[in-house]
Amino acid sequence: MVRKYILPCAGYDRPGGEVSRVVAERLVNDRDDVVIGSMGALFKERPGEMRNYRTSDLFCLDGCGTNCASELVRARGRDDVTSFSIHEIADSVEDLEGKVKHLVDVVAEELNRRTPKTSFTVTEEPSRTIEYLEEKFDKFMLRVAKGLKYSDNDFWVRVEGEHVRIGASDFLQQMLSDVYYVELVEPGTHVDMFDDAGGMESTKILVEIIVPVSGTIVESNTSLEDNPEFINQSPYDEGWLYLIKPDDVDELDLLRGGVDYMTYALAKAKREIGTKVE
Amino acid sequence: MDMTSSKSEPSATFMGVDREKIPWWPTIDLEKCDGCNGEYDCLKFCPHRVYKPLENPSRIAVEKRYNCVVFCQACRKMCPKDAISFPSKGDILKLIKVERAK
Repeated sequence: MVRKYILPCAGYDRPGGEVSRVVAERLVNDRDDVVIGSMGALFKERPGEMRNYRTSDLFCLDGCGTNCASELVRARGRDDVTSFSIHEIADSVEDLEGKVKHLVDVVAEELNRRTPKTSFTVTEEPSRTIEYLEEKFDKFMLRVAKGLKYSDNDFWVRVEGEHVRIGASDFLQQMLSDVYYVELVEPGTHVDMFDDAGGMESTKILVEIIVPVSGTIVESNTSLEDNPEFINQSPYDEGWLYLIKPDDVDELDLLRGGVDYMTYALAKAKREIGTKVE
Repeated sequence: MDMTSSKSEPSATFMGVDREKIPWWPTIDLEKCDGCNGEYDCLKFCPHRVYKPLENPSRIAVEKRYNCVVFCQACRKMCPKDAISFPSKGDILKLIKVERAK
């Protein structure tokens, strides 16, 4: 079940703000799929708030014409918000309780209308629909594509029929920073798990491509010769490195799933950044 | 004489195994290493602070062996004297599998 994040107007001392607060409280009491957002926490991007924010459908209760709630949501990167204007919906109703009841009905109907999604966080990229786990760390936003396997050397594996595609994780590309040269080995090359096969050179360092699976390389991403920046811009899609015919897909059991890798990458990021400021 | 130390960054694991249980780090052939005459190519190259320079005579030493990225041996390839070696990848993978099964 996808949660619904309801962001009430923060002008609690004003009529619209008061109504929106009461409506949000009533909805959260009536339902188990609703969480009340906080304008202050969202403004400050508190981690817990941002997690709820990113993983929920968004509903703003705007108390006045300034539409602060909807504006803040857009400023925090989401434009898929459903906004309710307290005035437009409830001005015709006289008393506070009447307004609240009417609004609760209108908002609840909209909440119910939403078809449940199965995803956690969904972000779409142009050429392929990839769902991501996202966590903020320091100034970084780490993105881990769901449904892939990850090596502790920070490479991903995607099973595609009888082949697997591999590439560098978002964490690795961020550690590298701007890649300007990618050296790939020729198709036909056989590699064992954790062999190195080519490398990526950035303005900071050169790293080997440590292949996370044994098999025969059937295709190299030659577009990286002219566009090494794909590694940074689109690590899980256009920035792929090799298509491989694996020797034994059971080998992938040695790798991590997305959630597990996120935990690992965050711990590693913490160590790497700790190292630099030491 | 073992010139490597056991210091490492805190609580690192690799493939679920305590990093300090995985004997993967470079070994320097001191007969071949000349510290690139004070240039220390491997030291400059490795971003993980594995190496420490020695002077008089100019040589390289492994200081933080557990900082070394398991299965990375990029420094070996760029050593002009071919003085760096690593354990067998297959042996290390076997060991990791054994540790994981525990």
